[in-house]
Amino acid sequence: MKNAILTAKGLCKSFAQGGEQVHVLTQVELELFEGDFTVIMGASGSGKSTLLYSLSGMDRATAGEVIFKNRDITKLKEKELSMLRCKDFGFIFQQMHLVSNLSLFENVVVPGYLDKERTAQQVRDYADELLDKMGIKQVKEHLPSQVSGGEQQRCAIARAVINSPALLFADEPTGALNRKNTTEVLNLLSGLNSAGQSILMVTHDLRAALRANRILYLEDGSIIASLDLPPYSAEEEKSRETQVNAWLSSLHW
Amino acid sequence: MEIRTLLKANIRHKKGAFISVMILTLIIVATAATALGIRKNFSSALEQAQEEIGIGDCNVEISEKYYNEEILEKLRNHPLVDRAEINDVIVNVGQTVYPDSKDGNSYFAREVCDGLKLYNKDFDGFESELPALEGNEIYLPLGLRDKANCRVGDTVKLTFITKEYEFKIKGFVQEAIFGGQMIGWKQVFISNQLYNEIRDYVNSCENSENYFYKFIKIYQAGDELSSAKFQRQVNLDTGIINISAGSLTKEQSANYTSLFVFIVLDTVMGFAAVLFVIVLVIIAHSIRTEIDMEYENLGILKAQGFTNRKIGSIILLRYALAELLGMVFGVAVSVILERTLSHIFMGITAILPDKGIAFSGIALVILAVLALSALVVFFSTRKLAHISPVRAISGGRDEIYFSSRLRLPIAKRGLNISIAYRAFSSSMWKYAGIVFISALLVFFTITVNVIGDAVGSRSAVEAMGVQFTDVSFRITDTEGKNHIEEIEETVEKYSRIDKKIYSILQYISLEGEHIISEMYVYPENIPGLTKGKLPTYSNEIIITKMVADTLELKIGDEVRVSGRTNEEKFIVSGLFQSTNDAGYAIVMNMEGAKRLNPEAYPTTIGFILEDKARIKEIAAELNEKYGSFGEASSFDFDEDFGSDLIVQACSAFKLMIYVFSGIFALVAIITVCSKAFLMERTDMGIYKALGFTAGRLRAQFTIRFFIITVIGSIIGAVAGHFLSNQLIDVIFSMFGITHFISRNTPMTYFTAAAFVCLCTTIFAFIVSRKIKRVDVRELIAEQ
Repeated sequence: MKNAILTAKGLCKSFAQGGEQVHVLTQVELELFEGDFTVIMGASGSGKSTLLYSLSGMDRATAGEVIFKNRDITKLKEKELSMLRCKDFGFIFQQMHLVSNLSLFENVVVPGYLDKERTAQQVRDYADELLDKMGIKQVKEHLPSQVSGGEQQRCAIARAVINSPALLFADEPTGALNRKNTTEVLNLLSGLNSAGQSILMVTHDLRAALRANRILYLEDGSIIASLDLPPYSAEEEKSRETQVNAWLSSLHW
Repeated sequence: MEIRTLLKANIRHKKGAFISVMILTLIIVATAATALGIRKNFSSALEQAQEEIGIGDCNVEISEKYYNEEILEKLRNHPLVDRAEINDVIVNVGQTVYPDSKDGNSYFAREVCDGLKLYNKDFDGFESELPALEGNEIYLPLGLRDKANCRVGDTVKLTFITKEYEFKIKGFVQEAIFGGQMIGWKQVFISNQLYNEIRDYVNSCENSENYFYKFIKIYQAGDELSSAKFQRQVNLDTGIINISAGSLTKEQSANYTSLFVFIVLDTVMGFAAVLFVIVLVIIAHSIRTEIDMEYENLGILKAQGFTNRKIGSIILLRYALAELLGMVFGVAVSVILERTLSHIFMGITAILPDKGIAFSGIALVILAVLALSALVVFFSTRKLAHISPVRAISGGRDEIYFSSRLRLPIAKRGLNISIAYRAFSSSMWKYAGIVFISALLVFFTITVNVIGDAVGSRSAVEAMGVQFTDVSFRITDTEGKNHIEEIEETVEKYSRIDKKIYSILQYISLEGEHIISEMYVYPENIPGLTKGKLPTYSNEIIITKMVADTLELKIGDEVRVSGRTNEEKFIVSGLFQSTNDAGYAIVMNMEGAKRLNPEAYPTTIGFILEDKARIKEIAAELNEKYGSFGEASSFDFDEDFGSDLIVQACSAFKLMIYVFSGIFALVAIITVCSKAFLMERTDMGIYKALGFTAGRLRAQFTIRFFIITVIGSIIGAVAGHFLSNQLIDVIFSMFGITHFISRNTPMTYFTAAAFVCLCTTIFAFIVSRKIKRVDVRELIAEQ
């Protein structure tokens, strides 16, 4: 029996657009489990990213609850949300969004420095370890503009996990990468998941979705289907692809 | 059409910059137009007033003791003289007593003359006629209203020889010869009846010829010579100025009347020019930032066929429109400001200003503002040529940050500071404008601090040639010279005497030029020497730079000096500075004075005391004992000099510079911070997503601008240290101080820098409140 790490109940999100309310998420019910690599898929405009932002506390839901560690994060104050983002959640963006005037190393250590429980040296040592693991230690003093998109995204992953978050959110992390870099990034995410990191990822990319052990399908702001898979292994990728493809086809994807 | 459409859209989307430039232009144009308007209206009114009062090219007060028909004959026969008008006046002695104050300057009482105009009760115009005076009524020149703090109906007491007369102020008149506050001598107008009564009284006294004066207005035939040259030539040929107690040329009268006002106006104009430079920096910064931020949109416009020139024209039109609106409002505001400030200056000039608008001056300012702005826009928009439509359409340009040599590592301890410093050091040129602006503001605030500190320091003011004595006794009766030793003894009962300043202040002729001369018994105590040596020998004089420049004299030159009776040769032994007659003065020792007049004796006995605690008691005792032949007064630097007009003007000026600096720091910071904030929305969003709180980000943003202004302040302080004295020399030379002595302390620099840094920091913090309002997702989605 898996432990639920994050639960969404009746989650709604609406925007005012042209004088009208647009309901992007409607009564989303969701449970994420510890150690899972969960992927959210869906057509463009289905509300995937909005759901990710609402669950991660980046954005506030219009209604409903998001329960994390027995607390409804939709009710948290701005300062508490900042603390949550710093210590409990990690976030990877499609466009990497590294701070352009900080070196790769500094991009990684800065959120680590916000953690008062660790010394600066501990943060630096762990950042070095992560950058080494991500294969970008040799360019750690470079500025983001001086390295490739793949290296930037690997740096963004290292930054997202510097504070050992309970849950790692990834918004189309391979969306801006070429095939080679995509594989490298996905391998890193799979590696993190194998080491116990819970991940929730939004993607359009079938190859990325294959890394998940659970796929949720979002349509018109509601989760309409889910698919549980065994843990990822490269050898079984072909059969896994066939299975997921068939499932998605049944959903008219 | 396309330009109009884009211009409208541009203004709509960039309201902040548009309004900022409009407000700044409004301030500058309002300031400049007000200064120009006041100058024009005072100048034209003064010219008219001088004409109405019939001012002579040369105006002389001669005691009847020295006046004779022979000299008058010489004058009338002089080829340069058209005519001379002579009026009888009677001079008072001692101090004139007002309800709230006293005035030690000489007053020449006379009957009402033509050309006087009576101010109405609101002082915004004149009465249609000047009612005849009756009984003890008196008309005073307007300059005395504020100087002596008196009002219509007040009683004023004047002493003639030994008899005190009480007058009732009937009104204030415009008298454009001696009327201004900056001129010591005053003509006051009394009824025929009382004039005759005083004349009879003086006539009945001994030495009455010392108190009867002739006021002579000498008019030049034609207008070939300046009034100064005319007076000099007439004096060389007739000696009339040598025998006078004092003279004032038409030009001197106008200069002294408007001296203070023009100094203030010139300084304000100078400051407006500096503010305009700041505006140009803000415009340049805004345009460059805008091009960075709007890279994609501008690229798209270029892709659609817009040329660099066309895009540049849209930007130029936008700023020109903002400036034009600012100018319109500025000119409107200046009309109100001009009326208000003219009213304040009127108390100093005693001239009712005209109510015109300085159209030509304003037009020149407007043209200069537009032309220089256009130039700045032209150079700033050259960057447009580097925009590539292809790159813009394919997602815009990446922000490139270079590794700065000044980079410091990001540290856990002081994380906010190190991130703020990194933001600055990685794109320093972006902040060059704000560094320049803060340097300029700090430089100016340091300059006013330097003035304030020096004016507030007795030793500095003395070093600049202004002599203060703690207790002084002014001898008004020749008998007084026999009691000098007794006076010293009385003073020494209270305190040891540090310095004795015994002097005469009297007009004499130097190469025919009538100049105020200070003559000292103890030449070693003469203040203000800037070059050469003090006049320790009887044939030495020292002169001010202004005298040296006017008469083309230098140290070592031999000069002719004429008193009322003798003419002697002197050697120029040095240069000094003095505020007497706005710096047109000379100094000699008492032995030198006796060469010109063997009967000369010090008329003012001044003491600088070791113990200054009982100066009021000393003055009281001296007045009690020796009041019959003189008058004693005490002087407390902090109390009395603090209320001096120049000190007050310096304080007002200091306040004005601080207020303007604050306003400009506010507008500059709002403009620059807003742009910086817009450019860094993504970075802010990233930091927020990483767990940084809005408070932390605001702190970083504020610290960054604090660092920037600290750098600007250091530059401004260094510039202030090396350049402010030179700038002050230029301003103060108009008062006669050619070599400004500063008494700077670390606080002089610190308060200026702290003020600018504090303003900037507070304003940056206020502007950064937007960080709080923006949601993380919204920021991230901006991309």
